[in-house]
Amino acid sequence: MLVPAASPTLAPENVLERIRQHAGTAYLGGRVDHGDPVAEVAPQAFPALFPAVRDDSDLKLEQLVDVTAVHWPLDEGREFQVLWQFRSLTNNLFARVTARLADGASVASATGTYASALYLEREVFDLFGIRFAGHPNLKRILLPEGYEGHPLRKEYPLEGPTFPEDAHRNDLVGQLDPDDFWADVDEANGT
Amino acid sequence: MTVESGMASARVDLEQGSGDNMILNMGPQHPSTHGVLRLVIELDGEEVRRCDADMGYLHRGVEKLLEVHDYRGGITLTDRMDYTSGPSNNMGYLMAIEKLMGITDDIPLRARYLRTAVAELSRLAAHHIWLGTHGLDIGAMSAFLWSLREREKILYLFEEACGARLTTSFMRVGGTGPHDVGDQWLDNVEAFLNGYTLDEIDALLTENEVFIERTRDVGLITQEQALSYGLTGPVIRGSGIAWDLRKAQPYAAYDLVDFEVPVFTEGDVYARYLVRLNEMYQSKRIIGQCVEALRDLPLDAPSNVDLPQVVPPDIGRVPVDMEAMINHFKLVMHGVQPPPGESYFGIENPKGELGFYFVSDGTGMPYRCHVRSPSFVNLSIIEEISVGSLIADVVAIIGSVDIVLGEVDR
Repeated sequence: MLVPAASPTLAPENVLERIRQHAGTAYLGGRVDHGDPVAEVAPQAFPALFPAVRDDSDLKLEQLVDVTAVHWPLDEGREFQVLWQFRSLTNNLFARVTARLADGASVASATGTYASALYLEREVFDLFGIRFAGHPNLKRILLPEGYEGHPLRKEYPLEGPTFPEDAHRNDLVGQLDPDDFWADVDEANGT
Repeated sequence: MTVESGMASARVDLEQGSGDNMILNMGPQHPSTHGVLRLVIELDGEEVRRCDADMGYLHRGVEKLLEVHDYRGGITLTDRMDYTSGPSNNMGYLMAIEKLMGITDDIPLRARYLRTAVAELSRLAAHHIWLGTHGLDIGAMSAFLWSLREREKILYLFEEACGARLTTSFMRVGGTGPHDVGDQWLDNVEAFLNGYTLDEIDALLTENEVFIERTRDVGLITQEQALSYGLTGPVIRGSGIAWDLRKAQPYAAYDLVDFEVPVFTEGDVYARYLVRLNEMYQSKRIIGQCVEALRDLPLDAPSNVDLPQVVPPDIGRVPVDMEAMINHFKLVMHGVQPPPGESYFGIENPKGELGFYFVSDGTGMPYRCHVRSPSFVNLSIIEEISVGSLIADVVAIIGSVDIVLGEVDR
């Protein structure tokens, strides 16, 4: 039976320090954000970083809890921030590792180390179009195959690509001439 | 030769299979898949050779929608994910925003206890759905009826507290919001707890020869698998890992109440059944303690943080107090505005770790909100553990992993 530590065995700063040692030159910086250690690394740190942080006995980040991404379309050349969130159950630790990618670039898959990446990476691929090199079955998971576009990109319209443009409420508001509007109101009121 | 259904992705090439194997489509309209999960199963006789899960039938783009709702509006989307335990989802969302704003420590005790009580009530409600349908899948009809009878009583309590049974939108950022409860509600919860017993269902299933035969040594999950697949919740505690966020990283009032985390080491369907059953007894314990603590708090104890930029003023003050009117106006027009930054917060939902990752750009709407759904991650193990089992056992395995498709697909 695995009994987790009652409280974290390492301070967030020390978690960052361990990750820095494993990532080597690929380590770009780290900070403690809202109490969580957040390390930024270059994409080439993967996939070597995955088994390193899992097998390090001080860290023991046994679980890849979450993989997701954030789209920053204005940040040219590094549009995507991919993040991997790890947990160590034994040591009661949490860590977030992020990497910035250019649109169209791919990053190494974590599936060789963590089986949870099988679904999580497919989800990121589905919704953002980020490719994970080495994933055995990288295809859409939530949306049907043949669906066009990746909805969580910022340029993807909320209503979907086939929604008539002039039906967009915000567009109407933008195009509406206030004088016309009040003229219509007067006409409707018969004044 | 291909087996086709509505979705192109569901196409399974029989020639890729091993000769005479049969491809069986289970779902999306199948009672034992608990919603609209579709499993494409390659069968050799009755034995499963390969299992592919196909999901997304309930995908509503919740994450995209959360980007265009203010933080308060997003609450209504969260209880539609794991709809068996709406209030618990609301808590996770709210507490994630509070962490993002850095006001977690300011939440008054009254709100913390009430959140704990409501989260445990919804854990009971969710586990009752699981208990009923899991029994039903395996052929125990009475457990389903008795189980839902108990769940119904809990839904009445939710309705009394916030006006809704299923999609509760319970509480607000910064405390209980308008959903504080009175003594009458506490009385009703106490009456419910006094009459609450699992003994009937326990007697029906736990020692039931047929039930044990169907569940013991079925769907084995080893410790290594549980870790690698990122499993959380009762599923991981059935594999001998005593991980529970309520204990490991206590939130709300879990550090103030006394409870145990049931753990079983066998890793089979029966162990996961025992974990959840025992968890329900513990939930009852926690709720009782929270009710007592709420009674002991002074009547005028605050239930919301004292921050005008988070909690709207008392509506009676708005027409007569200039400052209250300004605060009210700003909150209605712009909503809660967390400072720019990012944070992740996970709670122990009935299904496992429900996490919310927020990126705020300082406006009233999140720049990005990601939902780490426990059902989605837990579901991934089904493809592995059902291989080699019988087709009838796949039904038991799905039931024991306890997924809600509203949360898988989001």
